[in-house]
Amino acid sequence: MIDFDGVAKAFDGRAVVQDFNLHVADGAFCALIGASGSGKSTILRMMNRLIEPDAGRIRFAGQDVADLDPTLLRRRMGYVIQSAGLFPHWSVARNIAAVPALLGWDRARTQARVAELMTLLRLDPALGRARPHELSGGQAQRVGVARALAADPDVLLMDEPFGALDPITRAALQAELARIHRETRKTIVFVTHDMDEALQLATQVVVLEDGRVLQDTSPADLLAHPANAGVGAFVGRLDRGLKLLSLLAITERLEPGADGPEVPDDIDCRSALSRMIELSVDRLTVVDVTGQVRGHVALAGLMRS
Amino acid sequence: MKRLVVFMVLLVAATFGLAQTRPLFAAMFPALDRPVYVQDSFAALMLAHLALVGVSSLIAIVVGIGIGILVTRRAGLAFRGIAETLAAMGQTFPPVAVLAIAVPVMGFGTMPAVIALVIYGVLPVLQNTIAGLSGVSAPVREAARGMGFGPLRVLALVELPLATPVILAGVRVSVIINIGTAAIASTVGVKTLGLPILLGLSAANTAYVLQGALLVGLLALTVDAAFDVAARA
Ligand SMILES: Nc1ncnc2c1ncn2[C@@H]1O[C@H](COP(=O)(O)OP(=O)(O)OP(=O)(O)O)[C@@H](O)[C@H]1O
Ligand SMILES: [Mg+2]
Repeated sequence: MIDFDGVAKAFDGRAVVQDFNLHVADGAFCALIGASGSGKSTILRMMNRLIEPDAGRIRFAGQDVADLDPTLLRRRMGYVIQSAGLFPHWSVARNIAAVPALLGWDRARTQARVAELMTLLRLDPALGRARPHELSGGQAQRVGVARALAADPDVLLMDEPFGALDPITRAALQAELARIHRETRKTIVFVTHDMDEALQLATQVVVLEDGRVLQDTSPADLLAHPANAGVGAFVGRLDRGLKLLSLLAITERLEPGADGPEVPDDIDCRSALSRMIELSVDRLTVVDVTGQVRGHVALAGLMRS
Repeated sequence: MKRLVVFMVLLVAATFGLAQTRPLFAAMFPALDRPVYVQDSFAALMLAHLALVGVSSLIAIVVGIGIGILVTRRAGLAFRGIAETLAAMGQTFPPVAVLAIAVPVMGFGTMPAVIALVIYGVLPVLQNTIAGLSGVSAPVREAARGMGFGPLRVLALVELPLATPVILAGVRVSVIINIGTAAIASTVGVKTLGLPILLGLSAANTAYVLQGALLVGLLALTVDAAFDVAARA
């Protein structure tokens, strides 16, 4: 869906992105991660031509973006930034309808789409008439995501969308985004400097340093085989085992029969381990939403990752 | 709103009633044999004053907002400093001096007066247009561009609406100053509410000065109240 081919960008003679190559497959969830100043935002902004590269080629759905009209290109790419950037003089509903309005959708279609998105992002319909200053940080960011999704873009570009949120709101929105990705299969490019966030959400993690790719692989592979000390430092040494567990759904270590206290079947193995420690047990019964027993997990089973 | 109505009533009453207040001014200034200005009707002077202010303010607003928009675009950024300096110079330059320079070139009449008032009135509009447009937050601007708003849409749908309160404040200052300054245009032979003031000063007729000043002051207060209503809307 998106390909970078030998892309470079310098600001005031200082190289910010160098010999950058990237392939983001259709439907992938690609996390760009790296220290502050490593060029993450610059790379993202080159995708929708808010920044023009000095060298190299960027292709979107097979077309060189340099050949596309930037304004029209951007309407095919949802864009979410950290501070949401909602229009303060417009209602929430009008904010969400911004791109449909640009595309000339009729009233009925726009209204239906706004309602649909507010439901998708779990926004109270009554908030449609509110102004952005009346929203909490989490609500504003939900509106930002809804606005980016409004015209059903081919890809979603997100620049630290949850960076300014408290941990609880952040976790809720991460879960929301994971669900949206599952349901819509949209290609997502997501900038973050939080490794846990990247590992939890992404199908592809790209670790950057000084505008270069240190490693570009799946979350599990990144944890299991960090390419070098730089990546190792980023994934963390002491809790790598826990991070690996967090990539594993509890259902992947299921053994038959009920045994021990009950836990829901939609948690990851890290949470299961945490629960075992908390309850001083080495077995947990896994039940689905209806309370039906699906089996159990054992400490020994979690260990053989 | 209430303030606006009160001042408007006072203004209309003064414009049409001042000519009938001869006994009052005669009592206040017993030494004067002509205690009320009668050479022109106050209504005619008010109309002429309004026309001069209207035309020059309109030009100053269009020029100020226009230049303010141009120098905040990427292509015009280099001219921002020059524009601000020129406008500031325009305002430090006394309008009387502008008139004194303009008259030998263009002769007496409305033209030099309008030019002097425009030069004087551009700065507050320009300054506030630049401040208002630069005050639009970077994320909002970036979101608009990133979503696919072209440059004109960013300006018309996002930047200008968000800058409007600040721009309006600049327009308000410009117009109010203009109402007072326009009185000076009578020195180059333009009929304004400054005429009774000038005649009064040269003929030591304080009653004339008072009558002209009263009308100019009431006009300024009325227009200011109108801006107040607009700013709240
Ligand atoms: N428009 C610009 N003009 C000049 N320098 C810039 C510009 N944009 C970015 N830079 C510089 O390029 C470097 C990389 O910036 P970038 O925003 O891509 O980093 P980042 O990885 O997104 O960092 P952060 O995590 O802090 O957001 C930084 O040193 C920044 O100062
Ligand atoms: Mg950044």
